[in-house]
Order: sequence, then C-alpha cells, then structure tokens
Amino acid sequence: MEGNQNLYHQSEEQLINENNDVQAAKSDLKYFESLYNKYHEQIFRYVYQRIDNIDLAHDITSQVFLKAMNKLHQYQFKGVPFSSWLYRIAMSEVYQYFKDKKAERTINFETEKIKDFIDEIEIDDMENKLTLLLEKIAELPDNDLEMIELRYFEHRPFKEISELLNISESNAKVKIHRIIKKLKMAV
Amino acid sequence: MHMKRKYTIDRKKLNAEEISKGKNFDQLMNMATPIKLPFYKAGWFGPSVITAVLISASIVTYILMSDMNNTTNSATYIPEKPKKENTIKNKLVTYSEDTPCINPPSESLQINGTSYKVDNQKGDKIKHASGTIIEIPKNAFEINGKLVEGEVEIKYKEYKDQVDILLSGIPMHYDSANTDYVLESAGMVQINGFQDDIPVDIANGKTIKISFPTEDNSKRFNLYELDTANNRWDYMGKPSLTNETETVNEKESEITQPKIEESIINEILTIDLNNDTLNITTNKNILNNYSTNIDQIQTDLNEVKKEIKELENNVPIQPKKSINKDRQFNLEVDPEEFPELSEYEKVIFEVIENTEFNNSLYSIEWDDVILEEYKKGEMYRMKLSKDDNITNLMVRPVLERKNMEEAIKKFENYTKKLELKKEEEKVLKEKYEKAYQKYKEELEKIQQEQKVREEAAKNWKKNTDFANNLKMSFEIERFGTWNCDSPVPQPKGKTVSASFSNLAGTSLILGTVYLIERKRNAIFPYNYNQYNKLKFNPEEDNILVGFTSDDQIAIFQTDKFSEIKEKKHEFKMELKNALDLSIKNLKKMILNQ
Repeated sequence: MEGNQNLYHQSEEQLINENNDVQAAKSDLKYFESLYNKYHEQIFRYVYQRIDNIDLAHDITSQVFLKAMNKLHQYQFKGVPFSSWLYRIAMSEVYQYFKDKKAERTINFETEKIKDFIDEIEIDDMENKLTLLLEKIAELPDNDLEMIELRYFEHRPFKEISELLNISESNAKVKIHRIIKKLKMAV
Repeated sequence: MHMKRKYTIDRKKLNAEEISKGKNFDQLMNMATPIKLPFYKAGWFGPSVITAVLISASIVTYILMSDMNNTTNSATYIPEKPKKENTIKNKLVTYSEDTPCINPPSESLQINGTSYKVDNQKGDKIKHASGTIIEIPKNAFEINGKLVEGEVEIKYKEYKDQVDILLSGIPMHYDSANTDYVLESAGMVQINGFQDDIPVDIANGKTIKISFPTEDNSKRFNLYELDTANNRWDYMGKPSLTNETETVNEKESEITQPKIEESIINEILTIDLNNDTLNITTNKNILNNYSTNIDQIQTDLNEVKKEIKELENNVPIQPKKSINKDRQFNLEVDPEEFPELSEYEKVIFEVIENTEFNNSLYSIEWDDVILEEYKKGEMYRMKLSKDDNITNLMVRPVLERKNMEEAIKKFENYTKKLELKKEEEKVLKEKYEKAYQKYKEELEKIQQEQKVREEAAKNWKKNTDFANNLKMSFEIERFGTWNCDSPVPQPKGKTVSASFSNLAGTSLILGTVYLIERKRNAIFPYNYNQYNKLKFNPEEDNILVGFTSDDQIAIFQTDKFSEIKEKKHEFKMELKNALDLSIKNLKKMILNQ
C-alpha cells in the first residue's frame, strides 16, 4: 500500500497539527477538505484491495468519507493519526457491503509481495506450493485474512494494525504468529 | 462469518488519475448531514479572545436555530436539517465509534465480572462478594415478550473506587444546565442477563432490586442510567438508604463464611531457640503433638547425657597384668580419695619400666607413703619418705591373676554401658533434629494458613458488617449500567497548561489523562483539547494517570504536585507496563489501598 507508512508514523507535532485540522473541521466541515485530500488515496487503495471493481471502490470510499464527516463530532483524539479512525470506518463499510450484497470478497495478490511474504515466513519448496498457499490464504477466517493483508500485503506496522483492529500490539503480534504457523502447517 | 472469496494475481495497477477520478469533496459537502455539538462541547470551546468571539457567534446561531419556545433541551444535540438527498444510500454504520460510550483505557487491566445462574421460575436473592444483594423476583425475565423457561445467566460487574471507574472506561461526565460536572460515585454496577448467550429483558412489571453497602448516609446521591446510544447519563430518581439486616440464602449465594478457628486466630506463636533448648509457646491444638514429642525427646536426651557424664566421671581401672613382681608395692588406699580404685579388692602398684628402681628400697621402713594421681586409673606418683630420705616413683595399678577375670568383666561392662549410652544419645539427637525440623515445617504451614484465615475473616467481617449496616438500594426495570452518584464540579485551585513526558523527558502521547482526588470517589478526565486548562486543588491528595497506546500506565504521583509553580508544566510521568500489573497493584499505587 503506497505511502501509508509515512502517514502513520507522524511526529507528535504532526499529530497535534492534524488534530487541530480535525477540531477545525468539527466547527466547520469545509475544513475537512485537507483531511480528505490527505487520506483519499490511502482509503481508496484499502477498499480497492478488497473489492474487484473500481467504480464500486470509489463509491465505498466516498461513503467512508461521508460517514466520517457526519460522525466527526464523535471522533476523539487518542494520540494516533486520524487515518486510524478512517480505516476503521472503511473496514466496517467494506464488511457491511459484503454482508448486505452477499458479494465476493477479493484478495489481490502481487507477485512481489507474495515473494516477500514467502521469504519472511520461510516456506521451503514454495514454487510447488504457491497455488496451495494462495488458496489457504483465501480460506482464512475474515479476521485472520485481514491481519495478513494489513501486515504483509499493505506493510502496516503492528501498532497501526492494533489500532485498526482494536487489539493490543502484543496481541496483534501473537495472532499473526499463529496465523503464519497455521498457514505453514497447511502447505 | 466467512465471506465468499476470490483472488487475483498482479491486477493492473491504477494510476493517480484513475484514483482521483472518484474524488469530489464538494459533492460530499453537499451530501453531508453532520450533527453539531452544543457549543460548550465543541473542541474549540476555550479561553482565548478569538474563541470567545466564536462562542458569541455560536450562541447567536444556536438561539436562531433552536425552537424559541423550547428552553429545556439546551444540553441535547441540535441536528441540522438534511441539506440534500444523496445518491449514496446512507446505511447504518456499525463501527465501534458509533457507540464510543464505554471505552476501557487498558487492554490488560479490565475489571472482571461475576456470573450467577438464576432459575427464572424461582427467582433468587444473590449476595455478591462485596456484600451487594441482588433480589430477583420469580418470572423476572423474558425474550421478545415471552417468559424465559429455566436458568438465566446474570452477568454482574461492580465499580467501587476510582481505579475501578478508571479501568471501566465508562464516561463519568454529566451535563446539567450547561455546566459540565463529573459524577462522584457511591457505587456503579453493570448488570445483564442471558440465556444461551441470547440477551434477556426484565419482564414488564418486574424489577430487580440492587442494594449495596455504603458508608455514606448523606442523601446527596442520585440514581442514573447510562444511555450508551447517546453517551450520557439519564437521571432516574433517588436511591433509598436502609439500615436493615439482610437475610440472604447463603446456600444459593456465592459467598461462604470462612471457618474461623478461634484458637488459630487468637494464639500468638512464638519460638525461642536457645542452643539445645527449645522453648515453644504455640498453638496447643495444632502443634501439641509435635511439641510434646520434642519435649519427650529432650527429656530422654538430658537423662542419657547425665548418665554418660556420671559414667565418664567413674572410669574403672583398665585391668593390667602384673609384669614385674620385683618392682611392686602393696598399699591400702582410701576409696574416697581414689574411687576409681575402689572397685577392686586388692590393688598392687608396680613401678613402671623406665623408672630407676633399686630393691634396697624394700629394706627401708618408710615413715610415710603418699600417692598422687598422675593419670587417673593408669599412673600415679608414689612418694616414699623417711627422715630426709625421699624417693619418688612412678607406679601403675596392676592386678594379681586371681582378681584379673573379675576386673576385666567389670571393665567390659562399663565400656559396653558407656557405648550403649553414647549410641542412645546419638539416636536421640537425630530424633530431636528430625522432630524439630518437622515442627518448623508444620509451624510455617500453620502460620501461612493463619494468615489466609485472618484475611478471609477480615473480609468476611467487613462484608458482614456491611450486610448488617447501611445499604443504598434501587430497583431497575432494564439491564444496563446504573450508578448512584452525586455530580461534583471540576477541582478548583490551580490551572496549568500541561504537557507530558516520561521520566527521561521524552514526550508522551496520552490521549485522555485522569486526575484523581483520593478523598473523592470521582475521576476528572482531561482530553487533549483540555490539557491547557488542567485544574487541580493543591490542598487535596491528587494523582494524575494516563495511558499510552501500547498499554503503559503513566502516573504522576501526589508528592510531585507541590513542585508545580508555573502556569505551564511538563508532567514527568512514571511509566508502568499494564501487563506487569494487577488491578490490586494499581490500587495500591494510586489509592494507597
């Protein structure tokens, strides 16, 4: 996922400035535009990674920002980037879409990232097992799949994953370790 | 849930133009229907001149937008009218921020609940471990209007002090007449009912009565119910105060009275170990067997030691045969003076080999003969004197053949007796060591048990005292979070603009920080926007607590508040990893409990 790391790793000053933008947007929604411009691409990529339809991904992305604008009064600064909140809305929206439409969830693999993933989890004889691995990833429970995508295909830091999934950082590490173990055993 | 899946490999990458194709902020602005906060809740509400201008403008806008006849709902949200129907259908959002009401600050430290099973057809009167009584009438539960058959699981949590409230993540703000109060709690509970994990309701016309112990007999407390949808507390009247002794079905309740053995609680165990002597003042009932055993061994040991000492003081002559009859003297000895020689009827003293001896000594009629002990039973000095002629001879007692057998027998008996006594002493010493070790182990065990029992007795007594004394009661028609509180204003005294760092001076991002006054059962939260006006009363025992996103607890201790002199202060917080702490530890650190 291009560019998201830099936006997640923000200095205290950047976080404070961003929160000032949010507070300004709370008083007048027109100030939300800077946040929209800053995070639109990230949120779109997140949605499009999970949905195999570009127009639909645009609609859902718009829906995410609309929700955020309507619910902005409920946003509370927790010392993490505003994008965490947006991602959680996006996660909910995507999930809700699949639930309502009974549509197919898409997993978009990129060869390079898959190679990195295989190197990282150290699976031998992967050339013969690649298809099986992709199938096993596709069969993972929703939460497990989400974690693998966030960590290995979108290269998000554990801290951000823990924020998005509302779990502790150590819990995120343990969970991912277990999923990898499960995948290695399956292939 | 497991959604249908498909996967693609190396899908075509989108360029920036394709991504920004769907970007249209103006359209979103037209579609947005935000809910505006009342002015006093808005983040920008602050002390600056610019803000004051904004407040004035907002008040004007607010008055214009509000129904002029409606003067009672000033604390509620005023929604704007939707501006325009949008093309994207606005669905109900399910993400957690929709109900951000209860938000525990720590992942690791969470207040545990208790489960009780209640037969709906019988009802129950439950006594919670804290002394709270939950009275459930029969047929109190229904699902979708239908009476529940069988057992219902009641899940119950109680928040008694500031740390409980802090960890609960339950908001404690209360807005009244445009003033932001914090609720000082006399007791807060969360209660819910389930059958097979399906939530049940309290049946129409039924109520559950909750009575919890309190030490505060003032009538300042109100009853509030938490409205999680709107993130606010609703006033529900007044709880009642009663001072009656509750009768509780102890069998059905979870609490059991610990067995208190008075003898264990009251007796003081002391041990005085002084060399070989063991003096024990102890619990007679429990340790009696051990101490009696030790006492007996000690008595036997002392007796044997005495006998050995006596034997060693009366060593008989080790019988020695006569070697040289030409060097012997027959002497009558005083048995009192030489008791070691008294065993034998006749003792002859033979001059030892290396002493010069002349047979002429026999021909002298000596005036005096003095025998002096040189080595008891083995060698003596014999002093022969006549006028000025004095001769000293070293002699040893020997026996004639006819006395020999008897003497050998006597000596062997003595030796055997001494060996037996020494063996007996050895065995008794070993027995003593073992018994003493066992006693020590038992004593430690009993002291440990005593500690546990004393603690249990103390808790039981506390609960019993509560059960017998003042109780705050209220009846609920719905499950949820209920609170007996009194709204209290923010602390007064000092206001500082706060920033936070760890002890090394590195900045901390804490989100909300909580000021706790130890004497008031309330917590005062300050979110990021309020850091610049953090208030505290310097006269109170204050403590400031915050949480980092990686579940560390940041604490600013009471004694450091006196160091705050300026209007801007960097609070240097001590960090503790929540994973390494228990709630008990945290209470000790924050409340000195």
